[in-house]
Amino acid sequence: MPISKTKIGRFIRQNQRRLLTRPDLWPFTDPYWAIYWPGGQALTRYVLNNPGVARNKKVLDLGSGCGASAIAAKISGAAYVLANDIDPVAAVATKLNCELNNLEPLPSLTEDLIGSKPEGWDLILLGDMFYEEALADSLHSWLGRCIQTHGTRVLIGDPGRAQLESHSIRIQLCPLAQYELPEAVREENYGLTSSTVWRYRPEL
Amino acid sequence: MARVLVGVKRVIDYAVKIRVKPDHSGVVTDGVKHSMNPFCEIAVEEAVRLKEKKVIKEVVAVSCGPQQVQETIRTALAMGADRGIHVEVSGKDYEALGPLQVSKILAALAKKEEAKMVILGKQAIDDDCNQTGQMTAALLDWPQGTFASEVAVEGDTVKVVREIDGGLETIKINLPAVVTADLRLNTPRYATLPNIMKAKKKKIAKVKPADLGVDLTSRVEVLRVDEPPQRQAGGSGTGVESEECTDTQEGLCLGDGPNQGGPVSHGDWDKPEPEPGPEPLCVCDPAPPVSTESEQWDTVL
Repeated sequence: MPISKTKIGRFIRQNQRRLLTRPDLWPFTDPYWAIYWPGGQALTRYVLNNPGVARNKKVLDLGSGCGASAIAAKISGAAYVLANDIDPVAAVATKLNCELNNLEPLPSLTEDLIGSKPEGWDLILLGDMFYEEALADSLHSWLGRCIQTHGTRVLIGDPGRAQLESHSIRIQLCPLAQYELPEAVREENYGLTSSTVWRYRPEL
Repeated sequence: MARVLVGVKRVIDYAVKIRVKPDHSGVVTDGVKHSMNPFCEIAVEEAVRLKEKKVIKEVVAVSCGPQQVQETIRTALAMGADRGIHVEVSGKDYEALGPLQVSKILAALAKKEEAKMVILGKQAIDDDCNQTGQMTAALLDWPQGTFASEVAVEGDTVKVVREIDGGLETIKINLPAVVTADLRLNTPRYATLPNIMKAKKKKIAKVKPADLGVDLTSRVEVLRVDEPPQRQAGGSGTGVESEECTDTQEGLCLGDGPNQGGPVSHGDWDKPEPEPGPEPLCVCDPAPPVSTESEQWDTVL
């Protein structure tokens, strides 16, 4: 159906304000949930390739972003999956991605769980969470406690960031799988070429 | 952990027409577009490629200057550097900041970060000094591979192909070493939106020169900065006689660009040096003015 001129005019005028809005007036934080991070990609692939790690398990995806690893855990037959990201927009993105994957929306939480009393998680998934020294420190001790109190299995997806490679947690990590990043992913992540899934084993 | 330190300098953008301050104390920088020195871009690119080859594990980008140099560091991070160090220098100290002061800072950081290699641009397009790499190597007592057009790490050594007068020189030096990037080392990648986005998560640490034990006192006094001489306009020929151009003053002489010899020359960083001909090439007709380098770049960008 042809659209009348006035309708087009109105359409443009209404949207102009949004087009002219300066990026610093954007009311939300930077959309990191919009990125399918390379560590999360490896972790997601690993869970899909090895559904046994998540089947019938109570799973926490910490720093879930777009929710890919959480969705992979659900597809692999997890009993319960919680997507946790402090960005509320990430929770919405996860919901949309669940719909795209024909899943019921996964429960999500925007509270910062790092440092909280460890719950009885069977499996904790962390994709690309070791990008900052201070964060790596707090994760190190909190994940240690989760394992100590509940015997939680902790899987970390990371593309070889220096913050993880040079951290004291590194010697307690066991490599489970390594994936070469496809060309398109490399293009979006200059300097990165592969991504590894690690299991955190503090007893080592 | 194998780490490379890369120096990145914020300079007036190569496409900007440089203006000298009326009091001849320097060039106008206020409200002028700045960007990363092109040779520093090449240095960053080489470091990121070494990381992609898994020869090194971390690329650290360093810049000295006021708050604005963080933009330059961000550019390096978007090109693939892992983290940044902003060495805070401002006011009078920044005005007097020269290659010696920067070398001292870089040498101190290279030791502190236990860098395996320091990669720098061979020179900056603003002051054209071509000293920082050499002085950094001297201060560290490390080998240096300057004007590199090829870099290959082989165990504890690095093979550097150097661009020298009339040819190439291949040297092998021990690591740790200082390498300075020449024009043909590589073609730097563009910072794309997904990479710019991710770079925001990368950390920039701030340090003061005093924390590194570096004294910024300068021993150089700039007496005067002048613009290069104005180029003569081409004359117009009217008859048969003038077609045979005899007076170079009347014609437009190529190879005598406006910036040559000037204190703030852009340098021909984007193309090889023109062959110095025995005689200036003469254009007798009232030719349209040859577009300057900056105009050409405007159309490219």
